[in-house]
Amino acid sequence: MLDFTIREAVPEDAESFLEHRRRIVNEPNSMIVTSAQDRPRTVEEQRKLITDYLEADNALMLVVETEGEIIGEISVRGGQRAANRHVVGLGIDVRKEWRDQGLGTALMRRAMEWARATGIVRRIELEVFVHNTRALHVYEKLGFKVEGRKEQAYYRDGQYIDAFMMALLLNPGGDRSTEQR
Amino acid sequence: MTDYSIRQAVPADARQLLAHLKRITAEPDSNIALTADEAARMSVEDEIHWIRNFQKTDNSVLLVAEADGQIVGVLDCNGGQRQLLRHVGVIGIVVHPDWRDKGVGTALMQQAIQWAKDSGIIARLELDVFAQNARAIHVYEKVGFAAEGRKAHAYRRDGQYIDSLIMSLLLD
Repeated sequence: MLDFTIREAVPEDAESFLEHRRRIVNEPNSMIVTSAQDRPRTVEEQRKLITDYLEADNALMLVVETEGEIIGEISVRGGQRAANRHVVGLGIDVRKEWRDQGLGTALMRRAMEWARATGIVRRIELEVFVHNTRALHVYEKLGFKVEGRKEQAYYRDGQYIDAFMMALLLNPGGDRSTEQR
Repeated sequence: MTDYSIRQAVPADARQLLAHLKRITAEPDSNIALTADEAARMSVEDEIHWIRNFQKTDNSVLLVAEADGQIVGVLDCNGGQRQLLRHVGVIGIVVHPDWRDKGVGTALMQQAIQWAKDSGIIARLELDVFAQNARAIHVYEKVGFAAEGRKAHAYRRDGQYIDSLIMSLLLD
């Protein structure tokens, strides 16, 4: 059984967080939107970002660690306007060697618990490459619904990639069921 | 009175663009996701900075429709910054109330589509519209956009949720 810890990211994590991200973006056929061609954030930018997450009432950044090393993370961040403060966009990644051990699900559950407890967040949304069946399965298991398919949403190595738009609605009462119109 | 022209915005438009935004957000049941209070907090300097950013990027454009020296419509198209998203332009559009149903929105959209084709970068135009905004949806469909999905509770105003449609047009 893998021994891991999930905790909120703190500014001191900036360097090891970036090292983790560097490995993620360099994975072949990665399933994330950032690529090795994008300019990576500097340590200072990452520290500022983590601080922004800590200070916002509708944002959360969690890291998962094993033996003191960051091997995955989840970032959820809410809109800044009155009209979309209740909506958070979600991004998650776990390094290849550590997949299929429930870390993604554990990160998602922690983020969902946090979202319910804020009393602010009512909608969690994400986008996922349509061929990322493992992730899709996790999101569906947790109650996320596909709301649409964006064609040619991403472009990598001369190929377009379609994406599913997914969302989970939270009830104002904070219970587990999702509401549907 | 129905004569207008479309051009790219310049920093000198900042004051008028801000006044336009403030007027639109003050409309009851406005169809944009910005409150009048939020618009009131924006400064001319912010607006100048915003306009300059469009001038600096190769995959974004800010268009204005002008009649008698007055800005009557604005369209912004923001290209993605990440490598995987540089081909996607996200459109926002706002037309002055006195100039609605006169083809200004359609003309702005057509101009943006032409700009996108000429850019050689943009291959997908995308927008997000309140699901209840039938007039806008009609215009978008007319110029070739199709709905790809509906975001439930995407916005909230006065205690009410508003769904939105994600629409796109693929260019080849």
